[in-house]
Amino acid sequence: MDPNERRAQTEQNVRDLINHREPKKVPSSLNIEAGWGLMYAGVKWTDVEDDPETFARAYTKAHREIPIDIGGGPTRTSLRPAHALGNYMFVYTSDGGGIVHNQAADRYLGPEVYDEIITDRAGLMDRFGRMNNPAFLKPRAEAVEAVRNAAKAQLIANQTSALISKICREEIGMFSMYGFDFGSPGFYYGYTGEFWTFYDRLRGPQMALSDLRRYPDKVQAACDFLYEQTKARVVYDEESMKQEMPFGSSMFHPESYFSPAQFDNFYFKNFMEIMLPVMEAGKKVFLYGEGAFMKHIDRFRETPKSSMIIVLDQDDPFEAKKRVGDWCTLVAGPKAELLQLGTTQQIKDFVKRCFDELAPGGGYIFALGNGLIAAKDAPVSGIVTAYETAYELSTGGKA
Amino acid sequence: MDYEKLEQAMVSLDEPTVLEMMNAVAGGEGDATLALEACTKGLEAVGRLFEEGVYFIPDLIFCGEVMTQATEIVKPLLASGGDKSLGKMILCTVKDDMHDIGKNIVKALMEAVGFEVLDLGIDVAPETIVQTAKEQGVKIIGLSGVLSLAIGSMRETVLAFEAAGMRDQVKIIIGGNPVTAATCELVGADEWALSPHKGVQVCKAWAAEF
Repeated sequence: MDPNERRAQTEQNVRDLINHREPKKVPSSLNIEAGWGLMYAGVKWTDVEDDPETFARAYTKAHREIPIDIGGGPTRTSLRPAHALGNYMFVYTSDGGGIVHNQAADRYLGPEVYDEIITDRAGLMDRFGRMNNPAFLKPRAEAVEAVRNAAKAQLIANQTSALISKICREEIGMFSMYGFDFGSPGFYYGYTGEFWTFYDRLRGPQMALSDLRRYPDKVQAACDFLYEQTKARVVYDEESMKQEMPFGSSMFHPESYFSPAQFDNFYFKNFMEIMLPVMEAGKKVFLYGEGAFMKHIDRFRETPKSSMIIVLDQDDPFEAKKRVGDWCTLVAGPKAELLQLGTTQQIKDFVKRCFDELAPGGGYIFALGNGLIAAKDAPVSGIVTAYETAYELSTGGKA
Repeated sequence: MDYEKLEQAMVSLDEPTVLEMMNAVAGGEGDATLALEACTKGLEAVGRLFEEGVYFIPDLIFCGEVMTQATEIVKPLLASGGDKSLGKMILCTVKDDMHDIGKNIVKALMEAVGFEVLDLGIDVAPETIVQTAKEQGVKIIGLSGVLSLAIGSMRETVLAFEAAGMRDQVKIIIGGNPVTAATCELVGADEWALSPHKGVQVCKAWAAEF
């Protein structure tokens, strides 16, 4: 099929299902990080990192050969820029096939950040940046050389990313839900909770979460300060708000750990304040992240019907369907452990159950329960079984 | 020393009161063992409140930190550096996974209830775990992971125990983000836990069996 036609068909199917109309075909989505894609092609990350053409061709082999309609977000294509600056928060896996977050290498600041972000945000972020990129602490000549090397590596990484987008869009005809990466232009609307600044960066997950108990007033004041800045930057454009695509976006991770009160206080009320006008105008909003989210999922009934697309991570998709399936689109499917350790028949049975229970009435996109990051995340045979089964079911065949 | 008050301070996550009372114990105003027992009871109550949906993950993390501080304060007063009555257990994050927050929380709680935790760190190969269990005579193995790939590494670890002829000599519990009852079955572990409280209860029960 012509790539443009294929992408147009997928886009129409997505438009139908997100409005809770049954599409002609339930589309399949797969978020492949570069490491898994390269593993599929039999190529090691470290062997192709400096060659955009070889990297992009190898990485997109899986996209060409597995029946996927919708691609994931931007993929990390190089660690060299960060490593050139002495930042090893992400490292290559032991088999050279992918990359993983090295939590033990994370460096965080003390609780003074809650005050400091209010009094000197720029200075604080500068201090944090230097701490995590030790090259900046070296003598000037060495630091300049490190930055030069990082910039060169980043240029190569950017070329690789652009080439991947081009191949996915123009040669394969994939549709992207993430807006920018496969070349869809558009006015961007998004909201991420202010607590992320402390959870993911300045304090780190453990300390930030315990700070909610130890320094509740300081955390609150800092998040309120950041939210006011966020709010001041939001620009609403009447025309673009009416367009369903590209989707607006939001993310969850620390939110999955929150109590209901914390969820409301540090995320949901701000999310609604910023995003509700956009959704009421017609824009669809894509919510994705990490963790178990079920205890908060009912809150999204407060959004306009058929305005949210929720990617499930650790949660049970069938329970989610019961709770919000008639209101929000769910992106879900088998989890990695089933693909790793289940039999072929178990995988087929699970995919069939997804189509039987989640697809009726629209509001469903088939996807793996988790993105594929590293070679060991899921075996190729399990992935292929899942997606071929989904393809057969979505096109009227039998698994 | 009002040990009941200390226990209640722990339950209500009143850090200043817990630390003030533990410092008083360290200053000679009470019995270190009884004080730690009170804290442990409080900690276990916090775990139950988490299971009941009263407390949440941030509260559990905070509780673990308070418990660690409380233990450190009175440690010099304890004859062998603390209660190790439940014996040794191995705890680690499995091969190719480098996340350690969950593991560290569990470690603090396991030590608090009386385990001597052999923390093998992150990204630990199956053979290292098997070898350590063999050399140290450890029968309880806690495997942690956050990434999807951890599932495969957990399975490899279980298989390594089988290959070494030790599978029936050890109990293996898995925990972390990708872990479910189905995962536990597929991995071939004996138990699984998402909450530290459940992990502690399972391991205490095993320790009583051995």
